[in-house]
Amino acid sequence: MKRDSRFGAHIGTSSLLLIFLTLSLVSFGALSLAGATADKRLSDKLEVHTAEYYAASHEAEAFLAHTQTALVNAWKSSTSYADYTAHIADLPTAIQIPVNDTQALVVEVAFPEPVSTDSEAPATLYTITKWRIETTDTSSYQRHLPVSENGGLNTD
Amino acid sequence: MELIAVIGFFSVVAVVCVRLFAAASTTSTTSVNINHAIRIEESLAESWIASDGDLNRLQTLYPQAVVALADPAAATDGTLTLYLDENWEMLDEATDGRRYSVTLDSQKVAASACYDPSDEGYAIVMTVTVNDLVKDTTISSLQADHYLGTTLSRVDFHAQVCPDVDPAGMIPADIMLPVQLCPDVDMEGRNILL
Repeated sequence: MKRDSRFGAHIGTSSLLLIFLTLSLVSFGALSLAGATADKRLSDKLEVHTAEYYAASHEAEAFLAHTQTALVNAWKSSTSYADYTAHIADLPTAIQIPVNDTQALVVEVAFPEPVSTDSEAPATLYTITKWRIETTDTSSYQRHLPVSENGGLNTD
Repeated sequence: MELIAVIGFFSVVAVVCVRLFAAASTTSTTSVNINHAIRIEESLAESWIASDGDLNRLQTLYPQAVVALADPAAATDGTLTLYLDENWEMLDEATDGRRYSVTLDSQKVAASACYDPSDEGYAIVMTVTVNDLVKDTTISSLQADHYLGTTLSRVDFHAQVCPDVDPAGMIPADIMLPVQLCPDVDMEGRNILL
């Protein structure tokens, strides 16, 4: 039987093999790059989140500095411990600093009785009672399957 | 003819695929390096905060670290450097095979310079930088600060508890307040009994 060669190139085994190899290589290459890009995106998010946390930490430290300054001033202007406690009664003892859209750094302090030391090192008149990242996202997720009591799927 | 076309097309595809795999490898390596860098940065930052910026205390946690103090009397001002190999394992100072370096610059400053100008006391600020020594590039850097507090001298407490008394002479040095532990003194500063 004579082949009809009017319709261009012939498709032989080598062409079929080429198509298979091309599809395979491009697929694996694309998948590899997609996976690596996803990992890189996650790493970038981690880096951003770390920077956000320390930015919030900076705000919290500023709150502590402001609290300490107020406590020292109250201490110096008080004539007794009772007077001191009266001076600091209105000082805020907690702060919530947003870290990102869904998290906040919550810091709480207490004001124990001041104690003097012989140390020349800086000290504080407050005690940190809480330093924690808390979730502020109020989204309500569906946490159960919509199964009706009679065993079938609830289509409501 | 067909074979020549196949070989030519396969060459083009091979080049494209090699570039894809190379890009994936580079991206993956960058990602792994960032993860390691952030892990070390966070670890160093939290250790530094827990040590109140004292680089000598920090060195006890990282014995391989090299500490260079700006002033030997002030352990909070200076640089701590760590060297790591290509597997992100810490190396001693004399060991060869350094691939990455982690440098922590620490400084004690007035709180007014770091926070609100009206704030009293001291703070410590630091920057951790992770460098690739072979490529001479910075992988990641992190800044953090920590408020230390104010220097509360005994005089402050004496002036508080015994306002009419010379603080240097009237209260024995071993008395540790709370303020109630000044039993012979009228809290209003009158009728000193000492």
